[in-house]
Amino acid sequence: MKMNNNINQIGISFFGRVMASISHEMKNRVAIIKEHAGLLKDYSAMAEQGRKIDMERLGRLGKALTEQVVKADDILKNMNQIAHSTDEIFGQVDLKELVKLVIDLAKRPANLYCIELVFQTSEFPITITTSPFFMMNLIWLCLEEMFKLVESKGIIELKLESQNGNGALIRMIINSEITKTDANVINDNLLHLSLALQTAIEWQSADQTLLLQVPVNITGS
Amino acid sequence: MQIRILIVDDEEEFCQTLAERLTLRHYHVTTSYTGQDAIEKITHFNYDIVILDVQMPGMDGIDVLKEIKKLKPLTEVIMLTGNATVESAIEGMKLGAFDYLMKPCETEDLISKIKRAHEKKSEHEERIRDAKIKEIISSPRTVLHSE
Repeated sequence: MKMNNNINQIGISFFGRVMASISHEMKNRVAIIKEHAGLLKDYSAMAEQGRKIDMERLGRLGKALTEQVVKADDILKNMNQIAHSTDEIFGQVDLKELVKLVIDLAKRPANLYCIELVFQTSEFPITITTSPFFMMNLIWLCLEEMFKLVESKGIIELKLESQNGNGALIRMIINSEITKTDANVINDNLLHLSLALQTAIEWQSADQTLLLQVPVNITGS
Repeated sequence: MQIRILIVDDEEEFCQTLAERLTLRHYHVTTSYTGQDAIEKITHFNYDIVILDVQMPGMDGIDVLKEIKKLKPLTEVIMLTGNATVESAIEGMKLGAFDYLMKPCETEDLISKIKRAHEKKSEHEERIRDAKIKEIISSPRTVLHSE
């Protein structure tokens, strides 16, 4: 894989957008936790004044606080995984886990477009050798370009299929009305990354499907 | 009369808990989880203050603010932003928002802004009433014609 300034720039831009999205999501979790904690404080002050407190409500509040902490922890785990994806340029990864991580990271931007992301794959791992960070970058860029095409409220389905030892095929299908049927989904950045990662990328407008053929190993180049 | 507040945020849990806390402080609070629902409510009811999240799916906070200012120009809007930068909040204030707060916000800061926003709205409404009274006194016939 040849790393040039262009690829690095695309990668930095991707990392920035993901971090912005994660920090926004974390701010929301912290804001909810802060309001829950504030409400507990309000109840405590009311109890001190001799007012009756709904104990069931207190229990629900405690449960809600725990759930928000779990959600915040999940977000931080994702953040940690993407940060560590840059530890080595090349590595062996389970493509299924990698796509799942990109979907988790892309849920917030998808939600802003009122789009639901659905992932379908087999239960078995699909092991490939690639650049984990740039592979995530490529899938994220594909999704970003597809988000722009969805009219309003839609589903994008991601299907991951093993190619019997010859890598894998990722199908990204828009299951709703699209704004432009003649749109050029594959922009320059996608092409640069696709070339560097030795993937084959194709937009089939009739099926509203983007095909991404991923090789089993790219370290040889 | 209680101050009427509409909280607009797609984070339902945030809306509900903030609403409960403001209700305990004797405000009359309603919630909306989408921009479209907020516009619907603002069209049919009068709120003194709208607490509005900037980034929401579908119709975002800036679009909602523009609609509020068209429908009910006297309703004061406090923007809530989850961004560390204040560009969107500044844009909101240029479009007529009273003020902004960053998430997570201090309750005291929010209450203080609600009070100041309500004072501004009350003063504005009073000036409109005074102007109408002056108009009636200076030209009583206009009242007859308008009725």
